[in-house]
Amino acid sequence: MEAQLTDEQILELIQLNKDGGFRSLMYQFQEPIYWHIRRMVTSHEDANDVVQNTFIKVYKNIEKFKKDSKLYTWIYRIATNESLTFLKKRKNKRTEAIDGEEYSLENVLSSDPYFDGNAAEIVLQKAILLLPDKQKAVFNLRYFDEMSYKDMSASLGTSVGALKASYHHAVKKIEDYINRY
Amino acid sequence: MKKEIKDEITDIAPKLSEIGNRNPYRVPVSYFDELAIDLDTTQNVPEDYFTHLSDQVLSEVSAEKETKVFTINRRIWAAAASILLLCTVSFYTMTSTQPSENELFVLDVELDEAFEYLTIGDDLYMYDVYELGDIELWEDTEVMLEEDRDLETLLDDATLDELDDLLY
Repeated sequence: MEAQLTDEQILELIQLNKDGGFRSLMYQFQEPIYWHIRRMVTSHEDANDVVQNTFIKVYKNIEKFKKDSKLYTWIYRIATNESLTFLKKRKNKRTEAIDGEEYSLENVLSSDPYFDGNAAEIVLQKAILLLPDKQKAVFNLRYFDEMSYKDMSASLGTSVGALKASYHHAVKKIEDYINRY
Repeated sequence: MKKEIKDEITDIAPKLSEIGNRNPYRVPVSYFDELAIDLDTTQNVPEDYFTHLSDQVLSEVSAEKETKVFTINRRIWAAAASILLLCTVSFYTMTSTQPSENELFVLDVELDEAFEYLTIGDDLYMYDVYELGDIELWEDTEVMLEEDRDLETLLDDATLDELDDLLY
């Protein structure tokens, strides 16, 4: 496993050799970015597509990165945007009723060979699947990625106050769901 | 789970707190070892992909420009229609002492429903508005809608207890 590099080191490597430097960037960020996307889109195959789109956009736009923010919050922002765009497209393609959608999302979880949650974790994931997409992103970044509100604010372009309210609301909805099932 | 994250939810969501935040998802063996290689310019994209990428991007930008012109025109029409509607409603309101159906409907909307619609509903959020204009969020992170700013200023100034009161 490679040692952690600073943003400056990664950007310097990219300036010297774009492909080589980009590979270092990917080694550093691919896992947290993959898990963030995976929690948003659920299946590994979809996550793989969105991850690839995300890093291709990072590759194409790395010169536009403003050094006044952290590299990882910038990449999270692209990943979140790509995930939301993907989810919106997927919703548009679906013709099922709301009940049908919930059923199909449950199917995705139960038939996913790369999911091994216990009973409580399955209920939790089902509750998360029912959140609005943007609120899902807020909940996942805080609850699973344990990101600070400050970094979430940079990643999502939303104020800390709005994020706290959204997270609080998501937690209450999930608790209600868990109590019912 | 970090103590800070756990403490934040223990009181309001004890059952969620008990479940914890272990990651239940898995990936195929060696997935992460191969991911960077998959995206390597010499292995997973067509030869000269990035050489021709600039042409591809330029044509996409050109297509986006056309879309933006249409969007601006549509916005002008929307603004004109809004002004006309506002004038009509104002005239009606001034000449009528009875509340309109819209006014009666708004009176029935709960505060938390209005709050959710404005903040976390699917219908009005900066991502949607950016997508309407075919502008991707990460391309211009400094632009934010006035409505979002106003709402966020209010939320920034509110304590968590005040937010609780507002939401429930």
